[in-house]
Amino acid sequence: MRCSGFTSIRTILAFGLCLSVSIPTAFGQSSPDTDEATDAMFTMPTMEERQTVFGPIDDAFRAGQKAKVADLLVEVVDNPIHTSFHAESYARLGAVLDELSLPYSALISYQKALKTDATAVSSVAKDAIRLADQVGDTALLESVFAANVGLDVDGATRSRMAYLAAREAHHQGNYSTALAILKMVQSSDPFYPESKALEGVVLAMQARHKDAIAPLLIAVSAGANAGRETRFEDLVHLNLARAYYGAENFGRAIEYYAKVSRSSDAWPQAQLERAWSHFRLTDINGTLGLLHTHVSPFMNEEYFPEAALLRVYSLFLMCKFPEATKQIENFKSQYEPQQAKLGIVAATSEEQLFDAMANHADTGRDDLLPPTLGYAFSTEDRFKDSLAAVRMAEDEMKRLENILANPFSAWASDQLGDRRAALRKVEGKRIQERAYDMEGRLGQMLNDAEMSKLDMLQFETRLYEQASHTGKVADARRVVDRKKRVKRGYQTWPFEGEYWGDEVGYYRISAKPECPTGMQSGVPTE
Amino acid sequence: MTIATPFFKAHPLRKAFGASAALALALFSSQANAQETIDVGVLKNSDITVVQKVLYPKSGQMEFGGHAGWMPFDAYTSTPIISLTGGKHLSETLAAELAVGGGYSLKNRTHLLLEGPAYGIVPDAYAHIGSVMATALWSPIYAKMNWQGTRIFHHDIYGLAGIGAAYEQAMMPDASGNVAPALGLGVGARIFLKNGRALRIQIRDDLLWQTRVKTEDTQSHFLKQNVGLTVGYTFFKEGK
Amino acid sequence: MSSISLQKTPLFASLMLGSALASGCNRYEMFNVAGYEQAAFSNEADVVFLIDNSSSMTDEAADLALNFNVFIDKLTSVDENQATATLTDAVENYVAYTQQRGQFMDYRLGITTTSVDYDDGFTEGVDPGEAGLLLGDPTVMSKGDADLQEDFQRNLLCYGIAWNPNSLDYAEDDYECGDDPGGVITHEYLDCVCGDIEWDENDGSGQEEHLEAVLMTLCRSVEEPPEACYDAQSPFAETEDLVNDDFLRDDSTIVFVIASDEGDTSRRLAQGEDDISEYLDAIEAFDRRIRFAIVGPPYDPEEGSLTCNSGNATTWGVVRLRDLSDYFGGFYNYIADGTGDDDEDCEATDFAEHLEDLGDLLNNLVTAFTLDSIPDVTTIRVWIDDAEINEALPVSEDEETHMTYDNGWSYDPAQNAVVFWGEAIPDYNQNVRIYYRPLEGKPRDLPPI
Repeated sequence: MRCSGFTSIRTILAFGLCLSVSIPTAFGQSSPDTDEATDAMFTMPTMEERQTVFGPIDDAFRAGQKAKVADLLVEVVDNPIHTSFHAESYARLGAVLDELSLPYSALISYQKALKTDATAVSSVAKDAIRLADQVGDTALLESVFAANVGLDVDGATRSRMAYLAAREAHHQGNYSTALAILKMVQSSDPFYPESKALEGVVLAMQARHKDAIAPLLIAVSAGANAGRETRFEDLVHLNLARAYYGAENFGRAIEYYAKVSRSSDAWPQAQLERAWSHFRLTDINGTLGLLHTHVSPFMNEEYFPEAALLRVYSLFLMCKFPEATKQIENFKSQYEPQQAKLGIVAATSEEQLFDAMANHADTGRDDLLPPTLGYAFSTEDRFKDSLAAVRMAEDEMKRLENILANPFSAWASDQLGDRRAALRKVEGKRIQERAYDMEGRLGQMLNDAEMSKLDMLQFETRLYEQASHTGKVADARRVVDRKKRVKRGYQTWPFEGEYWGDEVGYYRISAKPECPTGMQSGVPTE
Repeated sequence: MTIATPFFKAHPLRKAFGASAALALALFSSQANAQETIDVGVLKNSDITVVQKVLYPKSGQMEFGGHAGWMPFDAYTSTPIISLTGGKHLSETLAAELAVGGGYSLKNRTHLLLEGPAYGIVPDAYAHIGSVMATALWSPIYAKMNWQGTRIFHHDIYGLAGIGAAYEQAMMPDASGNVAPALGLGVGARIFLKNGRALRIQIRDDLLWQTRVKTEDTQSHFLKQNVGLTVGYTFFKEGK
Repeated sequence: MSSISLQKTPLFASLMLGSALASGCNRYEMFNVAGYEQAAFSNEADVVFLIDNSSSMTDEAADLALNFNVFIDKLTSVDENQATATLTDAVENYVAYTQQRGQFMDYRLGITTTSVDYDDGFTEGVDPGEAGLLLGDPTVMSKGDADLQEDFQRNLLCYGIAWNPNSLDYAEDDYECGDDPGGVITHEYLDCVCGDIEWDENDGSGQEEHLEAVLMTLCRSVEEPPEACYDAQSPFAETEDLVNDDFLRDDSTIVFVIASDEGDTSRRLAQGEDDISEYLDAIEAFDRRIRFAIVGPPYDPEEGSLTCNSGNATTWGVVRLRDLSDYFGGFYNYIADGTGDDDEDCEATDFAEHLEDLGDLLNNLVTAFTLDSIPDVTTIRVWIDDAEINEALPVSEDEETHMTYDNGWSYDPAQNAVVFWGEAIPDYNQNVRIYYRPLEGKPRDLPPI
């Protein structure tokens, strides 16, 4: 499943549910190690064979020659004859690399050990998780844990494994499997809030919106108890709001959209979706008020074409055709350059995109990336973890250069290099696909906007003709212009065309529909 | 799919008028009878308001602070002043406050020049020593200002009126003292800062009905105005 | 936020403008203040006797010389060799010091004449006593000099008076030097007093220029004479090397004692002109405290005429002298008394009285403080060094001219001065402040903007 954008209002919940998404490993669908492992199962080594293989290694270990131990173990794992010893060798190699302060290399070794024969080396699962947390690359273990959930490990380790496995299952689209695995996550697990949030997302992906609410609510309280940052809370509130929206409880959806903090990067998106909720409640003024934020000059470079078009439609429903036409013109002038820029991004290589996004994460902007795209990834946990892992790998590779004389160093460098390349490629591809998707949708919207404009002009003409013949605007349906009542503790400011930064998001519109008698406004029933 | 397309195609509005949609493009009749411009089909600024939670509520809060300033407008004296205030905000616009202040009047250059050898004249000026004033503050204006487009400061503007008393002493060597009833009138502004603090700038005119013993035979009572300009730092506390 | 800009204005204008702005709101009553000079009191007095050495003044000058002791006694009743050995002596001296301040006047005396035209003198140049040059030997007589009285009498009698030997009497045969002359100047008396000095060769100018002589005396007594000294009509410019050394002290009060039976005919004023502004300005240019004790022809200001005018003084000439004493302060006593138009009813006044008045004037220099305006007496308040002084109560029951008071201050309308009495007399360099409201209301016009 692509964790990038949403294509229509119906698939709204598919957008931005990026708590964490696993990535496919860079090692292919069928591992040759599996075949070796199968062979090894049918060929049990003898003690003499073990001694032949591991004897010198044990001697070196007893002598404290860790580097030599590593070199010898690398020889074993590279030798296809000793496939039956690969799992153990990888495991032991992981341990000695860990002792040599090469955590990422050790993690890769453990991952290979578990992948070769998880049952035989189940004891390394805990260390593998520890190292994965340390280097920031838990994604490396997701697939191997997904395939070995029933390993004989202690409860805490199983809980961690379950969360990582569930992420892989979610990534693969195996929602039922993910739900089942998530039940193994203990409430004492450090990632329990994330696991509950993932559960809610998975349920929503299954269109079980009502069922998704409870785990998301638990995620909120668990996150608060665990001292999670505001960012986590905002994300869960956003997903809760979407769940309520999916369950067509628009009032509650509005309430949770409003809880997304103003400082969050997801706030403009939350405002847009909240506007949809108002729209579904036929509160056009409310919709327009929320979308006024997105047409403010502060959002000129942001990517919210849907907000612009929703606004156009809302204006249309109020028969404010000239305003709608103006909005369409603005839409075109604002988004045609953005479309061009997205096209450039989509045509850029994955590695270049990864580097650009890394630069955005460090400095807050990048010349290649549009702001919305930049913020979408650079503040995302998954990309941040991948970036940290890449940098850790680069650092370890530099340190390994100092000991090139040791054969294990070359092996470890190769492994790290492969992993680094894989991460850059995968993340870069995500960015590329997102840009491609955004460009495509924007192109479609721009085309449709032209057609909408023609329709708009026709109605606008009719409105003016009526006005010109009668000398006045035709009587609009009588709508009581209620005096605006303001709650205590609130202040109102008249709007005079100036946009103040502190006022964005607090607009309230009370416009009267101008549909003449005979023209009715309404909302779609879909 | 776009947002507009499905709704436009399915909308009853379009169904009603779709057939007759091919109309003339002239927007206005050549014989327009309308004599005035009509805003048709636009979103006016008057349709839009900004509704925000009051960031610096005052109602129910106590306000305490210290102020320092000057009374520079007297003809013959120049007085640095300090004061302490404490009060309660009864609502967002109304507050009651007690101000206790003191000063140290100095002879200004005119005074020194007149009593110098060239003129040999001494005005019967009085030095401000201290005052107590109970005031009511009315702040109907709440505003905000944009500093170079980067920072926004919220502030209010208030008027005040109060009654009290002031103690003054003659600057001539007799140093005769006088306690005068006073009526205070003034205006000020609070610039709200973080953490319940505020900067207050205020000008207050105390009108004193002063008795001067040295001129009892000719005129003993005088109306004196003490116009003081102060800058203060106050903090808000939740009132009980 | 708007800013306020201040334009530069003359300081005083801005002061006045500021006070005008605010003074419209705050009104203050104004008091005069006197005594702002801390060094107002000084016990140094430099006294110049300006003698009219015309022949008509011979008797009066002799009278001055014979009664000089009165003046000295007024000032020197304290034994100069007072005891200082014990604490008791110190206490007694201090008590005397505070109660009889005049006895501690530090005075210097000099004598010159009203002759400014030096052509007619002993020599063709400026002789001692002419054009403001002090005469005698020594020219400067100071308090504490052993032979002060003798020196003064000798200088006056032997250098200052133009005697007519033919009109002088001769003493009895048994007259010896040192005997009391009995109020009569004789040949023998003058021979004894003058010794080798040729007292009969003196000759004064016919023109009595009192004002010019005063000015010339001052010009010759200061290190940097003002521009007024160098007037073309004045003889100072060509004789400025002739100076009165070591006479005037920096902080002293200068007293000119003028005795004359004629009016002033100083050269800078036209005949008949009684406006002496030119000389007043010239004397003020020295920036000194100056008093004039004048004994001159009797003048009736109501009638505008002179009586007992033995010297044929002119009215305008006498008015000049009166205005001089009025302006600077001091007194104007009559040189002769009487009501008749002819000289037979007129008598020369006793110079002892004039000298007594002179003594009082010097004493009052340290106790009286002149006010610039006529005060509302009830508003007078006095402070010395921030301590308020109460008004003194009269202790003398008689209604004579000189009423005495106990400790405190009193107001003397004759001098328009506040006079200090007893222990209230301020010490030297004390800060005296006298506040009062003038009778006319506003003390004076405020300075213009």
